[in-house]
Amino acid sequence: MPHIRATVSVSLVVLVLSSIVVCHQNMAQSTSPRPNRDINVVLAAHDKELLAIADVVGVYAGTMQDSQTPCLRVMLARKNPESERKIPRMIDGYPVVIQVTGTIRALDRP
Amino acid sequence: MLEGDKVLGGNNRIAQTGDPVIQPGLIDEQCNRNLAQTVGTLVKKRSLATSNTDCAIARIVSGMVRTDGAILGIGTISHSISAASLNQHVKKSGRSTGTTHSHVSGLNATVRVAFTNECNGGTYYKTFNGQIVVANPSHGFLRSSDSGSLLVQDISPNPRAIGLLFAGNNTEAFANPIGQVLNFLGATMVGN
Repeated sequence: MPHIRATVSVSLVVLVLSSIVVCHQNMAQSTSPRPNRDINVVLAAHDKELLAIADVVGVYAGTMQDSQTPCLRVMLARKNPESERKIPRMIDGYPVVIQVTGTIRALDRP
Repeated sequence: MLEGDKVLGGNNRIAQTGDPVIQPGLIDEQCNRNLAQTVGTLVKKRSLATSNTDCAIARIVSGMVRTDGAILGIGTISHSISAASLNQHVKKSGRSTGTTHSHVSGLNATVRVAFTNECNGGTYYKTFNGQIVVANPSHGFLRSSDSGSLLVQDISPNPRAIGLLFAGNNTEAFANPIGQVLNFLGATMVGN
């Protein structure tokens, strides 16, 4: 019996450790500095949920200040700290930049 | 003659196929219709109601506009079109700001755009996908009444069309990709 208990205990430890590794890998996928997917695929997968956040008026694939590093840019109609807290800082390995741009208007009239 | 839906088509409750398209616009002639010339007639397509674009097209009145693809301040464009790319240098010629230059700052934008209803003055919103983003600091590239300007490569001669500008704010301007516009209208570009 002691031998069986020891085997069960070791199995549980292995199972728990495996779970920790899997969780860590999933977390790494969402925060990795090296994206696995094309930025446009990531954008298409997340644009609706981002636009559902209050005062978000747009999202696009752009670049960081260096004009080279790809990033997701989220546009806000006005400064809204609560909305800014809801917007992830990284999505699928791409940094997210928040811009307060104002409302986007059709420019058909004076 | 290519333009924005709201520029030529009103709010789709007023304008009809065959309506005269005048130049200059009424606002530039103190709303005196007699001071403007009829240069085309509207071919109604209702892009805002039925597509991912804000565009309209008019049949030209013979002899009233150039037919070789020449744009004031830009010259004759290419009959070929170009996809937008990040950091690409671009320009446009518009009613309010004239010829201005900028660069593509983003691609594939999903944007929620506010439109003003001409009939009751209310605001409604439409979401567009896959739009071109152009840097527009302090409205220096595009501002009110510039909608319908053709976004082209910043090269000369014969730049290729990239998009049809229709919206913006104080930091960015937005254009429908020209391929989508032409597909919706069933049109091709003129030019060299």
